[in-house]
Amino acid sequence: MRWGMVIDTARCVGCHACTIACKAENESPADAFYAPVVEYEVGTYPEAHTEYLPSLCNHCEDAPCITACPSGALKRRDDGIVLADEDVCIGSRACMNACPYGAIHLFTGAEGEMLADGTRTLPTVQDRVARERHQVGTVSKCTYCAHRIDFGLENGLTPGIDPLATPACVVTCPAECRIFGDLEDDTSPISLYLERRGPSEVLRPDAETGAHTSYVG
Amino acid sequence: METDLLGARSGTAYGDGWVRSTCTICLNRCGILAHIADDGVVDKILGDPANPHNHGRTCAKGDSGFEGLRDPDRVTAPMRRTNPDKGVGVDPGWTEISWDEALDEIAGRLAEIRETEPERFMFSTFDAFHLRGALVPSFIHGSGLPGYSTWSAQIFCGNNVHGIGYMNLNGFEGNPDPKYSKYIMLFGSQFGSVVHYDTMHATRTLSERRDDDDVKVVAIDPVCGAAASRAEQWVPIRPGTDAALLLGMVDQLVNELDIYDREFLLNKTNAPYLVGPDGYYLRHDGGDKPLVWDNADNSAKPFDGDVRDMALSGNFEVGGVKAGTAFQALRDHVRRYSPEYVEEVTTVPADTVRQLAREFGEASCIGETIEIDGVELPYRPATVSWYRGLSAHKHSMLNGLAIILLPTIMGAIDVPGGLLSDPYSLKGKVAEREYSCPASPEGLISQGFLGGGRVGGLYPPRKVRAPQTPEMFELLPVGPYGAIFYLLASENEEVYKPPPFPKMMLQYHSNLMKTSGPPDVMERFLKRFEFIVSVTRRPDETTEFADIVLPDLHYLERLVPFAYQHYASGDGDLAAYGPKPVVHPPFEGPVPGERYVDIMQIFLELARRGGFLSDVYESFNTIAHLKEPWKLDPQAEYSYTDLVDRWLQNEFGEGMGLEWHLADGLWTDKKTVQEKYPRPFFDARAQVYFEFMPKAGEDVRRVTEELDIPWETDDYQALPDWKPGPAYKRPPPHDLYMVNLKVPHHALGHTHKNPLLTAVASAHNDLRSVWIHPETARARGIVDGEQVTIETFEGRRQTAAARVTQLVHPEVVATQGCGGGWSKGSNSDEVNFNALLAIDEDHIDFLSGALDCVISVRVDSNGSGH
Repeated sequence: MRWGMVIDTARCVGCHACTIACKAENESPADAFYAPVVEYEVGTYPEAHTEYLPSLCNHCEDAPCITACPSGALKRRDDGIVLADEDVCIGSRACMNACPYGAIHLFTGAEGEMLADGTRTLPTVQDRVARERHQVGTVSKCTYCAHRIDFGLENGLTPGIDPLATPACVVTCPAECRIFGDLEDDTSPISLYLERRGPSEVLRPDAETGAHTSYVG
Repeated sequence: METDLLGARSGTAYGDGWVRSTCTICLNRCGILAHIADDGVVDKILGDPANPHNHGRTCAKGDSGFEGLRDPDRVTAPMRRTNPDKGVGVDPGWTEISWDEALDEIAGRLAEIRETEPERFMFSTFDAFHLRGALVPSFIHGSGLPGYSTWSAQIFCGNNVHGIGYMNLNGFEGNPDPKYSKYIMLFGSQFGSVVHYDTMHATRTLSERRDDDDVKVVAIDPVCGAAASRAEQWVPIRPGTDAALLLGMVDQLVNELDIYDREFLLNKTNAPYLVGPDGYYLRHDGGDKPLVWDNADNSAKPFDGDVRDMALSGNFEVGGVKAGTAFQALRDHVRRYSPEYVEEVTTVPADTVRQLAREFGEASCIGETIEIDGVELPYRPATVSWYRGLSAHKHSMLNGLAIILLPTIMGAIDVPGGLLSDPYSLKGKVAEREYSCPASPEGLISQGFLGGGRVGGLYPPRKVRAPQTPEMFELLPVGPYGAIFYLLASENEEVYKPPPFPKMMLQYHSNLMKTSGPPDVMERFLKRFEFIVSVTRRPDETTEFADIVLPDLHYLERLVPFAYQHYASGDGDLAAYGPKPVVHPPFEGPVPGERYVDIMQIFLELARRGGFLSDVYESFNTIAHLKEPWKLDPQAEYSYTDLVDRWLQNEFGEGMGLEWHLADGLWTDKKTVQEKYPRPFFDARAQVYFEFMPKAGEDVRRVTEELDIPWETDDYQALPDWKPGPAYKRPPPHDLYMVNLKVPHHALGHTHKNPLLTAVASAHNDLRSVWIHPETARARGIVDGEQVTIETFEGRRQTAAARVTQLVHPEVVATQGCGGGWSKGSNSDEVNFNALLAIDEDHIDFLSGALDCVISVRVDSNGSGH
């Protein structure tokens, strides 16, 4: 199995549902968006418009973050998913510098306001659960919702098809512009999509990282 | 029935721990599944895959909705004001009181005003999930306190949508057909980009079809927002001039290109009706039936007579009177809208006007058919979409009449690919619905009041009489509602002589201070009430003026049976479902011993204490069409859940009551081909010539002259024109047009204090900035990112960050959403667009009650970027 995602930018309508669904699912720290939609303006009036580029960790075959990490906190699973182990991370930020996609986030612990007793206000539900789930001073990132994939496989579900086995950003997308699945399976949604709409391109091909997240449209 | 009143935690596609409910953050009301973590906390929300409306998808708002459950500023108990002074930013000095004390006082006041001056009570909400149902309306009607207003929705929303929808579509509004429309023109709307109605269905379907280049979307918009960015063509336009472009396109189609649906116009519209020199129909023997011309024997006959060769165009002489067809009048009327004139008004190049008309005409596939479910139907895959962008203008009603002409002359009404009505016209019980379309004696689609009687239709016009309500609604014979006149008349009582101002207001789900007019106007308005009750989840800009505040529920705590009959347009399925409690609130409700699951429990308790509960029950029997054995005995007493249970079983059948709702609660059905595309199946005619308008205008003129009230009646025209709004070509220095546009993560909802959405908005600097074209910025010495001051022609001011961008018309300053505010949790550095509006005669449409949202401004650098 080799999990991958293709994003059809011709479909994206810039609604940011993926960003929020990811945040709710992965309980990421306040300022960490694992799946942001990058907006940029192209063209000259009146031939101008905003381009939307949904992004996330590219789960690279040759991941620079793994090479750069001094503590061994970043690892690749056999199915290609790159994970950051917060228990091992020493907060060196080497991975953040190495990643060409800006996909790794340090939990700064700077959310809310510092109170006189040294504790912080945690203004959102997400802030509170993020504190339970993540460790301040370590990095975290998109996991392709590995926990959902694992849950799905344990329960006979198919990642990319069954919602509970599929990354949250894919499930929510109103325009269905994120397609997920097993790149090694010709019948998976991603393989079928690439056959119809491919070939896809990766971001920053110059980095030659063997990204498993790619783009069409 | 023993139940904890929580939705079942199993039985959905996602398995244990997921509860089916309904997102009510915005009007799209998607089916959702909410997840309950082991600690009992709702920690995520996903779309309900079984729901045909949103088919398992959610938007950013829906994904983040659980945040509100643990809002630190939540109101958890009734509160009384201790500071008698009211004003913007004045601390009310809240002190907690018991439910008993609060309800007794409110009920006492209700009972008194009900006895003495019921017309001086105002009920205000935009709880759309109840308003289209039967429960809260039963309180409004049963209480005998009829004053009702949704406020902002009545000022900015469907002013030129609903009446026009019912006149030509037999529906509350029209939307493009996501599956079959091939050419979609968005006039200030963002259909298909998670910023409109039918949003999930439309977004997914258009995205799929774009893979095959099967659809062209053209966005006519001063600003290139999300929908225009995704559109195949963005056509920037000077704000408030769309009607000129629309009439220019009609001119091209009917006078130059000769593309229109002749058969449709003859058989399904009033286009062949004969119009005399006075602009009114020629009628058969002085009766109601308009005449048409039969070319076969060169004579005039009743439209439904034995006519062999009906004339669509031409001028004739009937009994010595010169007459022409309505369609001929339209053709003659639009000739003045040449592409060159349209360019002068709109800044859209004349060649582009010709291009759009030609493409629209060609894409309409006149004469072609398509087979749907084995039935051959007309195929007219070019259409339009509009809402506030075209409606919030001085000449709103004329704009609406102009836009409906385009799909009507092409026969693109409720057929595959055309403009589709929503199925409000489906009458009767959900499961045993019937399509109906009444026709007037003139043969025209005829709907008086819409939306359960609270929205006025366009045709036939209502009788004009002296104002009985503070919103002067009796002077709006073709308008849907008149909230704006509450403000105009109360600011100028000696001029408009409105009935006495309301004494008491009960409001919820309507933060009118923030969402209606500017704070100075709204402050004067709210201070005039002797007593305001707010039911709210968190203190906001309106509760600041309240005397008693009651705690409201989060939508994941509410129980509302089949919020209302639901739809996806075109070939989408029907569905009925509603919010049900996923969790209970962390505080007591209004009825001791009863779980607090809905605001209606407060209203029932007020009715009980106020002595008019039986009236509410009788009203419920009527509005919900309850039959035995589900009918209420007005002398008995029922809990809220009893009402829910009876209503559900009455609607869906025995055994499909509260228990079913909590365990399952999703009813779906396929549409028949007639429900999908009803137009070919009924005869009542749409209109391309609005003969009723001048007569309505005469009535308004006569009555207002008698009353000595100045009232504008010039727009009561049989055929629409473009007319300049107050901002049009205003001389310097206030020569820029300020407008706002919706962003997907804040559209149509109440999300400005949701921290997750705020975080996304902040990351894109969405709500703090104003967009300015580079040339415009350069001429004013404004650089990207600096703080600028916006000053309106009327002198209102705000500061904002300049975003210098190619995405906006050079004459325009644009801001996204309507942020800001000053209540706790507000983001005060956002632009509060509504605070810049002007409430005066120049900005109000006296036909539709719309307020012009094109603001004349100057924008100056603060020097911060230099």
